[in-house]
Amino acid sequence: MYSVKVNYGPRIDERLCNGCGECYDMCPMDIFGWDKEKQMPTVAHPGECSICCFCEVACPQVAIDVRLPLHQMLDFGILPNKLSDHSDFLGE
Amino acid sequence: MAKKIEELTDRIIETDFLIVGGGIVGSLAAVRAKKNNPNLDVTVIDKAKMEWSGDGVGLDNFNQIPLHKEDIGREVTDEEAKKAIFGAKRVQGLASIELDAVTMKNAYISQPLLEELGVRIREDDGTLYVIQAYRKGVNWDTIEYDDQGKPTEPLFGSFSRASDLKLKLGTGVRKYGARVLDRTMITSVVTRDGVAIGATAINTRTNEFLFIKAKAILLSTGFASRVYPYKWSPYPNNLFYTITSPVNHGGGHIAALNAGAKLYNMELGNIYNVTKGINHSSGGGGCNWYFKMYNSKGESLEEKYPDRVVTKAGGMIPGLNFLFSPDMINAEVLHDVILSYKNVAEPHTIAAVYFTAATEPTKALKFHKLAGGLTNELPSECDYQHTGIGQANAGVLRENIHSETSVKNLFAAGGVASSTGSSGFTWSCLIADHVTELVKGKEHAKIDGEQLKQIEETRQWVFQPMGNNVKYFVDPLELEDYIKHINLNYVGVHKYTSKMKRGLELLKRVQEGAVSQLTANSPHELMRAIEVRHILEISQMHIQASLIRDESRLIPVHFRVEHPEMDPKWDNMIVAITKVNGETKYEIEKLNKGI
Repeated sequence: MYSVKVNYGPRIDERLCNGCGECYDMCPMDIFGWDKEKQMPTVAHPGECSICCFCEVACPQVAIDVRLPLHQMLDFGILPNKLSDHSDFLGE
Repeated sequence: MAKKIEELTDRIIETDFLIVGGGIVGSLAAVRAKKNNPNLDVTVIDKAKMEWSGDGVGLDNFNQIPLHKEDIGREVTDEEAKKAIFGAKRVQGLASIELDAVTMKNAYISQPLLEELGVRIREDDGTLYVIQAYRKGVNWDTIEYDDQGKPTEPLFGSFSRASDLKLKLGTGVRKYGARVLDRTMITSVVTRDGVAIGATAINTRTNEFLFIKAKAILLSTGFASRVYPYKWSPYPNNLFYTITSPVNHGGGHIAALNAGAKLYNMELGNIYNVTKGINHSSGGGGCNWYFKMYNSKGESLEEKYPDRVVTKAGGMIPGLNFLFSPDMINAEVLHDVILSYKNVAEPHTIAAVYFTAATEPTKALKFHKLAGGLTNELPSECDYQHTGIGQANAGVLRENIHSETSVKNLFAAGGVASSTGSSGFTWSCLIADHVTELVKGKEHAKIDGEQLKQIEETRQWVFQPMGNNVKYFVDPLELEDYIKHINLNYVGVHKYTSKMKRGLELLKRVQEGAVSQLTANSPHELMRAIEVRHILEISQMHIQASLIRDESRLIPVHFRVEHPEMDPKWDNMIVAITKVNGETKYEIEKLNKGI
């Protein structure tokens, strides 16, 4: 309802999404909507995303990336300008 | 003439055993009840999707399951059970020793069932995965073993590698044939002469209003998790970054209260030590705590306060740890910066982080990966977060050894009754066993004018914000944020009398001036409008009860600055909350006097 711009939350890659509806079905906060025409999920309430990332894990098409809020990234030591250097867990 | 039940509701369901909330407790109780008696009609309602709801999603360990008798070589003795070492005792008398003794005696009851459902809790050779034992002032990764290779003490550990626990439980519920209603939120418990006979509920996607007739009801709706905001970020970025599942807002608490059950210990906040950036469940908060923490002078807090080291297990029971400081007023976390460095991790820490990040909520793994793994030189800051109510033992008061509330046939377990941590595993089974016997040959209660009145009043209350045409509409989420900030700024960890009184005044202003203007334009928004009114009521109780308990206990869970010490007059005493004719009443009484 509020009009503050929300930049975080799930991003659905429409090229990969096959409209299976798993994310719409399982999101604990129920933030997804459903586009009946396209038969695809939408992100209806991004501001209510709790960043649990369950949709990202559950999506069988690997079509979802949950965009983290800026403050959480910076607080944890993730610098946005370094995001292209995805390293593995030990940084090797 | 009074309306008929068919006019008041969109659908009526008859069931033997209604389970409200399909988290660990709810889903395990459903499986257990169906296993006890396949003919029993069991219904689970869940506000989210059962398989992905509750605090147990991605949970990597079952705290507080005792080692099975084969593992300790004997049964837990009565004497040991009565000691209630990690329930009542560790929460300084705020929990019932009697109930805790029952928990202890039966704590392994769920283990075979969990294994049957495919939850892996053993190594290939059959030994249990024990990753931690509860110990004083020792990090979780340094368990001591005796000559036989068993953990020295206590008899309880945590089992791990069960990150798909919730999916397996959910699959079990459906396999055993319980009815599952997802996206369905309780709105009231309907009673007849002090006995629970059913519940009303609403589908949060369609606004379908249900009446579910039941012979017994289990409330397993979790903690009231949305009382405080995530304090380091601006609205709307802070809405649902809670520590326990943000789906749970306390709807079960209010349904129980309105039905005549007692709430207690609502003054106790849920405080958790977190690494800024991640939270939501122990995984989010906990996984950076394996790294050593340093203050600005470069002192390792672990070494500075050896008695106060945060163990993984102890994260949620912070009585000992206010970010390590022994001095509440002058706590290190308040006047200094506490950092932890990933790149100085020791090998056992790395193993722990690997393990936790991979098995606890997926978010933790994502954060570590994006941060560049363990070679990242940027430290994270450690702080505390206050989230909801229900730290150790708060919520719906259980009045007898069947975990029944003061409303007959209404049971409570898990976060809503804050049954001291994960003993919900045990209680789900004990309650399911009791209910299986209880409902045998029993008929559904009759619905008369009094019950219709209850249902009609609930219906009116529930739908009031829907399409509300008012000059100044109030957005449920904006109001929720405002209420949470009142709690943060006027209550919090350091409770001052004058501040709390002011907070109460502000909440009263909300009650009188804003609630009637709440507006919802969709079922989803109506869900939020129902929740925020519950959160307001819980916040009022939180402050009132905090004012009444004029001592400090389980610091920092309840710390009254003007009364910084524990007062013996409060030993085993609680602030019990009831609602009589719509008025909330607070009384000081002895804990579990009926048991």
